[in-house]
Amino acid sequence: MIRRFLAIVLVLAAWIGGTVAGSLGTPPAAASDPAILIGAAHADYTPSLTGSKPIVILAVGSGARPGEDVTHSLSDSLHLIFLNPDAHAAAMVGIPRDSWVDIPGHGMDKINNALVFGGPDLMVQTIEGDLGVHIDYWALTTFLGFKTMIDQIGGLHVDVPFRMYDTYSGADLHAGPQTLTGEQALAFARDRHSMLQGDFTRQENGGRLILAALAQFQKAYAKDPTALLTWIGAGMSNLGDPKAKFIGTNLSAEQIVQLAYTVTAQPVKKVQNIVLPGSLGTDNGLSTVHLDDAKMHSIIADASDDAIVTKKNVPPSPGHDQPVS
Amino acid sequence: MRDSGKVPGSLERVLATEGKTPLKDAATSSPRQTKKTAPRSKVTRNRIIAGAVGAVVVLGGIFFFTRGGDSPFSTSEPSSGPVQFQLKGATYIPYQLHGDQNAQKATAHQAATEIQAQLDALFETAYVDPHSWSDTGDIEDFFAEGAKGSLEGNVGTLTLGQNASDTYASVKPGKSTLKVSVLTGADGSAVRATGLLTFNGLAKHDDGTYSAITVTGTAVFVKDGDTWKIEAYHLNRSEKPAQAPTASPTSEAS
Repeated sequence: MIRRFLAIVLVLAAWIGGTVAGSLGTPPAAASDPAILIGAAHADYTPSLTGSKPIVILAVGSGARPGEDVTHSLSDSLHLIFLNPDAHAAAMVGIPRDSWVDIPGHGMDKINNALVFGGPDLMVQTIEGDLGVHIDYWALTTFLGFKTMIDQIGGLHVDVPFRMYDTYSGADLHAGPQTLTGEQALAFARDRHSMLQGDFTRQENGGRLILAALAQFQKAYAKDPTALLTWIGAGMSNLGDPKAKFIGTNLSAEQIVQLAYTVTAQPVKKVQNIVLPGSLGTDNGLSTVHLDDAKMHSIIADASDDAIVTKKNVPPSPGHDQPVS
Repeated sequence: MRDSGKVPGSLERVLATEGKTPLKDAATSSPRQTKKTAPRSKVTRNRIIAGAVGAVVVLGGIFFFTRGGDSPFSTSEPSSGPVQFQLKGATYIPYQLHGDQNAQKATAHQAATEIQAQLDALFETAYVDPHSWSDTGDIEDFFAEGAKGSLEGNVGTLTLGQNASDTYASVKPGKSTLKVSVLTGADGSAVRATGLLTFNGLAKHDDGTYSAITVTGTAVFVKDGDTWKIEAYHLNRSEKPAQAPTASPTSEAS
């Protein structure tokens, strides 16, 4: 009787023990087959400036070397950037640095001397007066700042349009897509001696770098919006030196954040890269560029209206006849 | 807006713990009830029977409390605990040269702590608290004014989902991590901050099945008074079948 009772107890114990062990080791069968599952979902939001009246920014590349007065050096690169947030349109207009223009208070001279004579303010005043454009903001960088900026973002992926070899700028690049270091990007931006159209093609190449940077920023931001911070950090910290009481832009950090947000939605293909047309000349024994006034005013009027330069006013690319290899 | 009251999962865990004490007492107290005057062989036999019965009772108890399923006392169901993002890093990104590094470092750490608290509360509201897990109205305050209009269209990622209560029974938060970067001025002022986050949760469905929910991505924060609000975001949610949680009561608390 007792033995039978003990046997029953042991069987019960074995059954319960086995069930417990089983329940610990494997999940219920249903657990691997939920009724409703979301595979993947995505949420995205980036604010943007609004308005159809273009925001106009003057980007200046100063030729100042370390130790030189950044604000009073020759400007090597000049671009007007028109941005229409509502239309997601933008136009970049390059100004040849040897353009022979009237500099307020200094008479006729090369446009790049405006920076030497009166810093960014006089440069803005000169361009506004000669081109008939209103400039909202300006940003100025130097050779060193530019190089550092590019290196801080891990280089710039650029489709180099043609073979470039120039001992003056140090450019030695083959045609095709490649990632340029800060040093190489600077040489790409400065090379004019190996260009058939000299300074005109150089300004167009400056625009190419801005477009490459825009594409790369958008890609980086889409991957991780922290790029907003790293790119602004790299860009702004190399625009000026607060210790030397020089800030290379009249844009505030807040305004740059808003602009950066806005350009994340700016299709790169809808950014026009234009160089003001003109002819080469000589003035006061200097090699100069005489801008085509009529065409220049048509381009500027178009861009100022909605940041879109109509096809009939778009001049041929200065680099269109440059041999690729 | 947020309901801080106990949710069913928490209650179950308390009951399960309370229920174990009497069982333990019963198993150990049985031998003490044997009469001292009984013959030796009978006492031995009674002790064997009592021991066997005790073993059955103990094993039965373990079985009852660990078998999973729909038992109201089961410890295997996901229980709603507080979301706690683990801070994996706080860095500053200067936008001016020669800044006060200590001030910028301090700003980054303070911002990281504040953003961590914001995300804890946001995911608690949006994913864990069943009273608010499908309503973007309840998470509006975590976002900057300009971003509020975007919430409704992103409800399936920013919250558990519009019709979450038709599908889900509960969500138990798992290990979640956060890295914060802050754009700082030379004086340590903060312009913007980003939080690179990963939220994990184990969802129990109404049909008794489970799924693992993961939300990853980055939110951009802007300071609004004393608090940080989300101004931009780029988040991905994925969900895949998961096994029912194991029975260990200690794992419940993690």
